[in-house]
Amino acid sequence: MKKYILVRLLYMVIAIALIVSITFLLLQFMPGSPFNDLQLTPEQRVLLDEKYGLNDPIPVKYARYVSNLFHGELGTSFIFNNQDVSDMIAARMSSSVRVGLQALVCGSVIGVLLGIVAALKRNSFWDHLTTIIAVIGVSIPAFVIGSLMQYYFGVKMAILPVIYDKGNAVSTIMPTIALAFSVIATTAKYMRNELVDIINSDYILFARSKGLTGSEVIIKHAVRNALIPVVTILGPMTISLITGSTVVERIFSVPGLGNLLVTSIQNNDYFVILGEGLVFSLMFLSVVLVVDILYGLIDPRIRLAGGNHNE
Amino acid sequence: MRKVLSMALAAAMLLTVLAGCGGGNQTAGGSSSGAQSNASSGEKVLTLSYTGDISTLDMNLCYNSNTAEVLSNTVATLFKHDQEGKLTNEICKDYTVSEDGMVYTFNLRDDFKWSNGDPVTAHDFVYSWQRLGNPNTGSTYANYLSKAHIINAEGVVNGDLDGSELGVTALNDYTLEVRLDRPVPYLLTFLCEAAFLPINQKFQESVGDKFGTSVENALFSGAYVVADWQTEYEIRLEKNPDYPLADQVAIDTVIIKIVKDANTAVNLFETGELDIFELDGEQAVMYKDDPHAHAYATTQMNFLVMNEQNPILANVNARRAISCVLDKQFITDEIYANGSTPADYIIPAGLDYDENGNDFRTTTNIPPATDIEKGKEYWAKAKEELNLPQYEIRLMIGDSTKSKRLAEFFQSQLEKNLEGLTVTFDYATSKTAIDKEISGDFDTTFSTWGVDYLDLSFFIDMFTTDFYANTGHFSNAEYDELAQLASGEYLNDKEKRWEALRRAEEILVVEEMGTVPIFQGARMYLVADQVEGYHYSDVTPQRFFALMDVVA
Repeated sequence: MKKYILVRLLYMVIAIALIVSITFLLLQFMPGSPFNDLQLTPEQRVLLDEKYGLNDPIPVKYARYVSNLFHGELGTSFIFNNQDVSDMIAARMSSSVRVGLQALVCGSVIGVLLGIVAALKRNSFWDHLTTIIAVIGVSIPAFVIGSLMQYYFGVKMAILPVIYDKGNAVSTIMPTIALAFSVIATTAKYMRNELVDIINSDYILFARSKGLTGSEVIIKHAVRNALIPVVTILGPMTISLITGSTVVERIFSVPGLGNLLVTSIQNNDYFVILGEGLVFSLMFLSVVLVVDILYGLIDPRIRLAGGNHNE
Repeated sequence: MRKVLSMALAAAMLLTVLAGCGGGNQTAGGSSSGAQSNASSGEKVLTLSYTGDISTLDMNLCYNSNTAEVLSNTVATLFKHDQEGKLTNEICKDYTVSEDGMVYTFNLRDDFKWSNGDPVTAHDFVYSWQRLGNPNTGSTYANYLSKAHIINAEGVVNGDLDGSELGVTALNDYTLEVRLDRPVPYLLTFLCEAAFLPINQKFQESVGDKFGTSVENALFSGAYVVADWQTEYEIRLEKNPDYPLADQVAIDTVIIKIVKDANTAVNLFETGELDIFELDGEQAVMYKDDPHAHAYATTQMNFLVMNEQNPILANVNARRAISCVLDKQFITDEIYANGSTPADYIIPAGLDYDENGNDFRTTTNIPPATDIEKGKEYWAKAKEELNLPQYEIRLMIGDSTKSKRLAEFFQSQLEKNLEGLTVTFDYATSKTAIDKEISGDFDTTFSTWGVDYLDLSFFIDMFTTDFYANTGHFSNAEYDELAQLASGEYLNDKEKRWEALRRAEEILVVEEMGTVPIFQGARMYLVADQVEGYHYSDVTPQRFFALMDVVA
């Protein structure tokens, strides 16, 4: 197991190096400059590009960036004058992570439970409810759900704060629900379909014929196996919840990472784009690693397939 | 074990959700009474919103209006503007101007203090302005020194001269001398710009490049201090007890929330959590008759840049035709609806007045541009002269909803009225758009400019042949000469100057159609009943919170 994790960590380092290099190269071909401003005289633009080293050849710029990275520096922002990119990302991380993880936990737990109930009581009220939620969750974008909630619960009924407030946990309810909707929909759908297949399979029949009780069969054998595909989609979902909630962040004024990425790209804020790319890919790779380890815990056969024969 | 763990997790989750819902009732009661409790404790709080965060607390590096507003409310300078835009003294006690209008001597008060206890002195101005011009500072506003016509500004900004050569000197701790290379009628107002705010050299050097990146790395001396700045979330200003004019400041705390979404801002206003916010686009159309909506004119001009390197747009009759068929009233009433006024002129109203108080704008005689029949005639003439197989122009547009609506309207007007003309869209982000504009890779685009300084020449200079931002390449010898006279020989002769500017404007927007003016901008704000003294003006600080009050 240890060896497996070490090998995976090595792959992670290689992947990060590739991601940083490719992003860096792609950004060089991005049209425009952070100092594109018609108010600047051409002489001034040249001076500014020079000061920030934007005119240097690509290899020089790349070497400088990488050497800074090894010193733990992600560079500074052009748009937020001289602010450290690492500080900027850190400042926005907590809110994004908080809302994103809440949505993930809420959404996946509710989704899994709904999926189980729907699978066990096929064609019942709960099954139809799950289907309806799944359709709504997948087809209605988060910003519609968010805006509607904000208007009805925030303004009309005034029972929830209209926007996110760092010091008030209650204010995270609406952004969490807005984000969680699609998680509930997706996990419930996966869970239900997988479970239905498994319940009809031979080994469940065998388990029952061994004389195990209904709940034992469902929990020990069926649900556990059905969780595998759900865990697979949870990984990428976590990242998209934390990084991609731009619209929900906007509606509820959550000072998060999604907004930062959009503004930095619009403004050619190179180091911020690079820094975010680095942080996002790090998060993504870590989550994938965690998910792979989780597989092993859920299904010991996968652990063996991971190349570890000691256990 | 795992089973127990997952059950516990599920239970915890459900509890969180339930607790959250239950708690909602209580907190909502608490939050709506938040504003009241502030009022009842006697503390006056004003809450407003920005759609984007401030970028820095370094005055030299400030480049956007939100940042400038926060800085000018928290750093004292020579003058402030009152609600009517008139100059009032802040640090400046009095000043003298030499007879030729080229040397200004400011006597400063000695009781202004930085938040580290140091006094604000004339040296702080000298240091700031030299730093502003220094290419190593990397300020995008360095050329403001040239626009103020301070001696040697150009050389310092381009790095050819040392900062000490700049025409600004501290004669002693509290006397500042500014030497100019020509008379500058707009100087005093212009010096209020955030880029010119003073800087405490000792402090700036102690924090280096990090100056202004956080509250700890910044110093304040104005009516307010920045007490807290949480990136992309909230900026809190507290009344500065050491401000010598503190007795004139009514509001204790100003909270600025970063709210990017316009609907969210409306919802916050409706629940009383925002006192002020700017209406934009669709919201402005919805609220334009609301008693809380107030429009404030600006000197910002919106106009069409036409690249005369394009064969169609090089034809003056084609340009005239475009100008004639554009329904500007529809644009200001239905697309912007924020108090903007249709404009057939390029020099905005509100810049300069004669001795009887008449605005320059009222002394000109520009005929109304919109006339569809005439437009069709011009277009027929243009087609005859051009004789091209097809007529297509690309309109470059930005990514905002409003610019898309404007573009679609523009397209429909032109295609409907100018037979055979096709208008296609070329989408670009703002930074890319500027690249394309500078390199000439565009046919036409909408442009919005606010004046940097209150001077009639500002927009006229923009269309002179050699001006770097004249991206449409309009060029006319008589026009160039008039512009030069207005900014040189005629500076001390208002009558001649106005005459020259009137003629130049006529050439630009009537005869040659170097640009199609569309409207003069305005801003519309929703202002809660309890806010008194609300104002907005183009001059810095656009809103001086010290002039406002919150009444119960």
